[in-house]
Amino acid sequence: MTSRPPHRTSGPNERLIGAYLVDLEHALSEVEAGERDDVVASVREHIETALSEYDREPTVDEVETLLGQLGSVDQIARDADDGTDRSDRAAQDAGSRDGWILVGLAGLSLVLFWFPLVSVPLALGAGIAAAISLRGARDPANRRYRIAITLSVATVLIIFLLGLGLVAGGSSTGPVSDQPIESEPIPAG
Amino acid sequence: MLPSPDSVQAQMRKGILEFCVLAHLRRGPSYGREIAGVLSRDSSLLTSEGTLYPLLARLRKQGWVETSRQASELGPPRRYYTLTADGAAALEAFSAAWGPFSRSVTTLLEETR
Repeated sequence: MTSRPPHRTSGPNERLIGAYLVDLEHALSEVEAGERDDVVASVREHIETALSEYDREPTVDEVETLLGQLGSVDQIARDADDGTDRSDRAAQDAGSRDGWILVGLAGLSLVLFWFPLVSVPLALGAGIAAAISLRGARDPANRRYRIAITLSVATVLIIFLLGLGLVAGGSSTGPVSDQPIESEPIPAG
Repeated sequence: MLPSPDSVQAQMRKGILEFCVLAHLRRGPSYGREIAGVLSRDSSLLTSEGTLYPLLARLRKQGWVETSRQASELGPPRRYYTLTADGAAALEAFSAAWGPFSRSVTTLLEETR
């Protein structure tokens, strides 16, 4: 998102307001993107509304007073950060960590596909856990769970197809008979 | 370190200011600068108008307010904040708790003066 200065400003006022909004966006860099965009857009609207109350171009002092009433961008960012629900953030972090663990396990099952007794249970476990977690997950953990499911399904599919191939290969050579092969006597002469 | 009156007020504002916003919205839909103007009338409620906006963003995320954009005769279209049913219920819960709570604190402070 780019910060543009509001209408009815020119020259130094435009630079002042533009710089304030850019600083605000930077100060809010730790805040979730949707909330950051919301706050910056709301502050911009506040400034535009305030400027529209003038029937002339406001002076630089007036714009500085307006920005002063809004407060420092660091203070706004602190308030935005203070208000973030800690348990919500902890849950997001845990979700993100679990997502990576499941991607790792599913990836390991794919690497170990030649050992189906290990890789199939691993793939099934990781895939099922990811599918369950996906139901209550939010982005970006959501994407990791999907990757884990995809890797798990790929592992099971590869092992299934390999197994099928081995069985088909074995059956094409025909059944091995226990009976000794009787060879026809070679006619003499 | 001894707390200053400002730092005590800042601590008390946390968790209370959002209900002041909801209480204002009980009168009807309002836009950001208007809400800021009402809360800034008493400097103990809002010291920096910009800090209102993270709070409004959170209230919207919680579903306690909803927004709509309306044209303005003066200036650009404005984002109006409206109290939702959940927001009204949250405000009722706060109102019910606030009366006894504030009375208890006032009584204790006066008794021990």
